[in-house]
Amino acid sequence: MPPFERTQHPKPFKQRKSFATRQQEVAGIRMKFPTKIPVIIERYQREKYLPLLDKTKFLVPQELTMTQFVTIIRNRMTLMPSQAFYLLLNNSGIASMSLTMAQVYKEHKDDDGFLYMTYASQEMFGQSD
Amino acid sequence: MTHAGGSAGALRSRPCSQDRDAQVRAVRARLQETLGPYERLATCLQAALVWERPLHSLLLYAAVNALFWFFALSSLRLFFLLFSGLALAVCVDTWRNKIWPEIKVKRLHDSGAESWGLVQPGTLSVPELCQHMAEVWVTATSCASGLIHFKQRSPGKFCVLTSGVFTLLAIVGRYIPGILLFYSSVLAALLFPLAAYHRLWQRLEPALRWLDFSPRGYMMSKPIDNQFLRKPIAGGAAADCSDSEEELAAFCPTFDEAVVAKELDISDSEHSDAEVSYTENGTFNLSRGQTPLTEGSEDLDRHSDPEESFACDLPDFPSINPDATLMEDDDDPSLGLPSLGSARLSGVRRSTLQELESGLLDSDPEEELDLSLGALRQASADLSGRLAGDIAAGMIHAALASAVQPRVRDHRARAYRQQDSSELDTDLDGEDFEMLDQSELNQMDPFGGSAGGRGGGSHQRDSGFLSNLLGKPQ
Repeated sequence: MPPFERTQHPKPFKQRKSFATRQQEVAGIRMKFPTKIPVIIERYQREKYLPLLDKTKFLVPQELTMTQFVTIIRNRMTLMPSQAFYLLLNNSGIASMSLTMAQVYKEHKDDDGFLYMTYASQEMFGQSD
Repeated sequence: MTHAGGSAGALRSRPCSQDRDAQVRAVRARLQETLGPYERLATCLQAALVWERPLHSLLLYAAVNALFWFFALSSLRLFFLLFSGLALAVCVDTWRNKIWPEIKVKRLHDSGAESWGLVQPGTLSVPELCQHMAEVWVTATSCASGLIHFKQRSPGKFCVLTSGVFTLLAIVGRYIPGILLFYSSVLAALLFPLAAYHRLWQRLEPALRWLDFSPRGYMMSKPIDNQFLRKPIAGGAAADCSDSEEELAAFCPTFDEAVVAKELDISDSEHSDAEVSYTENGTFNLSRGQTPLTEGSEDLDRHSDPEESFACDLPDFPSINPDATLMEDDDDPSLGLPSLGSARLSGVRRSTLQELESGLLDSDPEEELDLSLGALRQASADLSGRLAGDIAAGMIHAALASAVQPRVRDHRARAYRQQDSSELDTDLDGEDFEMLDQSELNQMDPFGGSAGGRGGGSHQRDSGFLSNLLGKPQ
């Protein structure tokens, strides 16, 4: 399936900011909150059903499991229980729901120090970059 | 604000009209715009309210109390307080709308940062808060408009109602000092998030359920002893997969006849409920229709009197009119043994209920939940069993009735005569089931003449099954 571009969404976080800025930002926030993990959550580019989140950058406690995290994000978007919601790690699909955020961060963090995630209503591999 | 959000938790699931949805969304967007930058404050406030950080909570309580008692006890005049407050509000407004944006622009240049979203388990995020507040707001406005409408349409009723409510409040205010009322409401507002956070009502619920001695509460405990009744069957099904009749029959619940006889005269005083007698019949259908019990089923086939044995076999008995048979299919089993079924049931129930009542006093709510869940699963398994039994019975009726009605009737009549002379043995049942044999059906086909060839029998069976499934008489 050829990818077709849609431009009504804001540009992905990575394209909005340079690598150096991002790195700086992570360093600053890690210094301020050493126990929290900086996570970037963006909507899948071709997502049609799920609403946009009000924020893209999140500070997440380390000990939170993925299940709890997904629940919190779902609540934040005030999704109905019937709506499907998948949270995908940007470089490797769906993470195990029993992992804690610290584990996920250790394995999947980006070079700039953020943990990138994409959400979609279908279980596809949302490679946004 | 936080409290309002907490109290609106139940509102979210309410099905609402699209108009209301749109309103909620609009209000929510506006609120979110205003409150968006204060996410950290909101999180802190919630954490303090639910005593996650005791120091902050203590500070908050002290501040609220100080503020309250300052207003309650200050010797300052009312007008002074009012207008100094107004002046302060104007100053803050000017600061926010005129001065703040300029500073904000500078700051944006400095860091270029969007604000971070905080993820905190157990607390509501700002969008959720906004959603709840928007829902409360929209509900309140619709209520107000409804009241205004009511006032315009029937002013008399409105006057009576409101004056009644106000009189009640006036009486309350006459006897209880206002400051006490106000302080208790402040305390309630401070403590409600704590109760909501720890789900206090869910902890109180089991205690309240124990107080439920109404007949309905009594009926609610029914699935538990039902589960006791079914335990042997379920255990057998899970334990081994060999379909030998004897083994399956051994798992059917056996009943002591003495107990049954003893319970028979008590059973009138017990309330009979259709639900459980259905499942009772379901077992019976299961053992009848699916596994023809032959040797190892003396326990079930040994009946105390011939009438009962006749009633037992009645579901298998085709009536004269095949259409009527199919339509009355559901009624047949209950026609079988209502009294025996309820008697058995009441016997087991009585004994298990006594155990339960003694055990319930110190049982956990979780355990209770487990039990009832298990019973639910059992009940659904029973239902499917009953369904299968009914379908099998329907197949038998359809095949037999349409193939050779007169012969079967003749045969059955003979069978009944033998049963009536109380010489019931299981061979007869076996003979009945032989009628279903493929070769015999095929042999009888020329008599019926409806379907020719070898496949006729199975075809007829299929159609009977299908029509039964679709609920249509053949």
